[in-house]
Amino acid sequence: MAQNNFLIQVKDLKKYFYKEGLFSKDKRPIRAVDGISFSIRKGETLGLVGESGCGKTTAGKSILRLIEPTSGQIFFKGRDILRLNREAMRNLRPHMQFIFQDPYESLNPRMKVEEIVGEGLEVHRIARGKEKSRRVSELLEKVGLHHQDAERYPHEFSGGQRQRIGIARAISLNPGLIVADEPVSALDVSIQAQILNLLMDLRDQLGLTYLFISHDLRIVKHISDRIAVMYTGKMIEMANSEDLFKRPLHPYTQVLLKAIPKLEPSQQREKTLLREEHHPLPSDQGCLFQPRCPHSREKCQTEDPLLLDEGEDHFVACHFVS
Amino acid sequence: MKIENSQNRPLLEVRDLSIHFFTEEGVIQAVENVSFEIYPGEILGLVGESGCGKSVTGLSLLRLISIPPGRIVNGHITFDGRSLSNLEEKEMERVRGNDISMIFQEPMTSLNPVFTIGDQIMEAIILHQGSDKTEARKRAIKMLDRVRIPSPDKTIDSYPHQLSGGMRQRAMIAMALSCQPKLLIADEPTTALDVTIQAQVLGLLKEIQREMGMSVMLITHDLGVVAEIADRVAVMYAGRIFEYGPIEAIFGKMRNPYTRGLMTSIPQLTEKKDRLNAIPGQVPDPMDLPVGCKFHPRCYLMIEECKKEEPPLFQVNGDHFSRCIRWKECC
Repeated sequence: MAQNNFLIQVKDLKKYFYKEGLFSKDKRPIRAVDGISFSIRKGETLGLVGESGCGKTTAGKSILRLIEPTSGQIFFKGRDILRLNREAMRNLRPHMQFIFQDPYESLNPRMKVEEIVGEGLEVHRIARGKEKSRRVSELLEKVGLHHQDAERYPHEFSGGQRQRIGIARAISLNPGLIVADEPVSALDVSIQAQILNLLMDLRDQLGLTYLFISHDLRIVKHISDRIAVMYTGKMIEMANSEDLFKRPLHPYTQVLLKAIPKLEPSQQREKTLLREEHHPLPSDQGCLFQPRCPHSREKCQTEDPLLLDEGEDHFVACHFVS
Repeated sequence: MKIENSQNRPLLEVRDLSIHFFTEEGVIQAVENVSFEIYPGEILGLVGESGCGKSVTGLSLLRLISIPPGRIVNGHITFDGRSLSNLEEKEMERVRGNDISMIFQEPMTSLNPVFTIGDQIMEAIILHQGSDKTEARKRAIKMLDRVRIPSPDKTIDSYPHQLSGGMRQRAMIAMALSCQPKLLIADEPTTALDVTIQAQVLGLLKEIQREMGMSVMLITHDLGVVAEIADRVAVMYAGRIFEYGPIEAIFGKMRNPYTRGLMTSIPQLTEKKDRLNAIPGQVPDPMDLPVGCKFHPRCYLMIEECKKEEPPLFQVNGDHFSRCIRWKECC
């Protein structure tokens, strides 16, 4: 595959959290992200899905170096950004932006909207004064707000409106890549739909590439071209959206899909019950899903399955499938 | 379980319930003229987005609203033939945890962190059933086993922080069910849980509910959850009930534009990736509600008449009701 097709390529990304303290009995690190690899083509949307604690938010932040990765490579337009010094990284930042989950915490309450949305323009010396105001007005209109909103403070807005402000901020520097971390999870259902529509419209208008992180498979499917499923720090399945839903291969993906509440009154729908919840200690051997897997066999306890291509760009990490 | 026939007396009857909050900035009409019933052995879903009044409704049944600033300005609550509205606080205490029980959204903040879950379960049993500690402990272990907590005889001595979210929620269910209440109020019981754990907990609730013949008032913002286990549903908006009826009727053919908006806002797995039919605008400021129908500024069926007077609940069919003058054209 041609290198220049991919806007971003992540190879074996790891982020471990080491417990500090002299008296810490357990020296093993928390392997929040444990060697994930994926690529996103320009204009594509990759959905990153998984339940709480799977590492998806840490992965998203690591990719933009909002958290420093422990190891791995992140190629943005062909350059490994982990090798860049501070200056070079700073110059790259306008090209890759982040949208946060909590609209109540991601906006500085002491800054007016104009300052929040225009800060990047100012800092990167792209625009200031009247020109900055003009651009901010344009951005606000683009995300469905009014140009007068520039004079107001975040607390004067609802959750959905604040999220729009966050989006305006994210697109202010004309980025190529946006990492959206659960951008609609904190919003009511009817507002979620509005914001999703906005994100999709902006994607078309501005040619954006998204890494869309969410625990909600319904939303992820709606907006993503491809979906990657994470479980305790590892990528266990990755495929085109349609294909993942038609043909989920990994047992965990299958359970995830079955667990989605559907909008039809339920007749006795078959639900695979997972065995008891388990918070696995970081182990060096074996599949981490094994304790909860209905198909577990001996090999699963000793050998960590690799992410393999099962055909048609559909990747799975599971001994049972291969 | 379906409603058998009109001769069934409701277990819980709420009539014209209005709850207002009197704050410095103004009066919030949190719940306005809300009426509904819950029959023995059935699950009623109370659905709506944030601020619609569903939690306040649930809390008011057990008199858990802070008064002041809240006040029940109107209405009547009847439970198992008795008026709850007129009970003395001491009598209300005998109802709470015994006849009517409640579970909440965040199990970590609802369980007392300094007591073991065993202590918390046993407390209710000892208080309401007059059992001694040994007997209470036996029953608590049985209850933990029933909610499928592994090694219940050991887990009973755990503290809440030692359990995962799903386990805590199960512990809370065990606590709520320990005195075999006739009605369980579940306020967003699975919202804070991962989807796979949510499915398990919902399945468990339904199973136990059937087994015990208990009624459940399930408060949630998630229509999918309602479709999953409820028998009937009440959709709330801005403190009012907008649609009310059996699940099959409402999910089969809803008759209220707000309900429709809620449904179409949720991406369906079979859909193509077009824009979602989002409801424009936002939930009104509860201190500044629009005149007439509270939903009219956002409604695709809105006409002049909608701005004038708030519509009553129209009977669509049998026990299916909708608060919309154009319900026949919906949806």
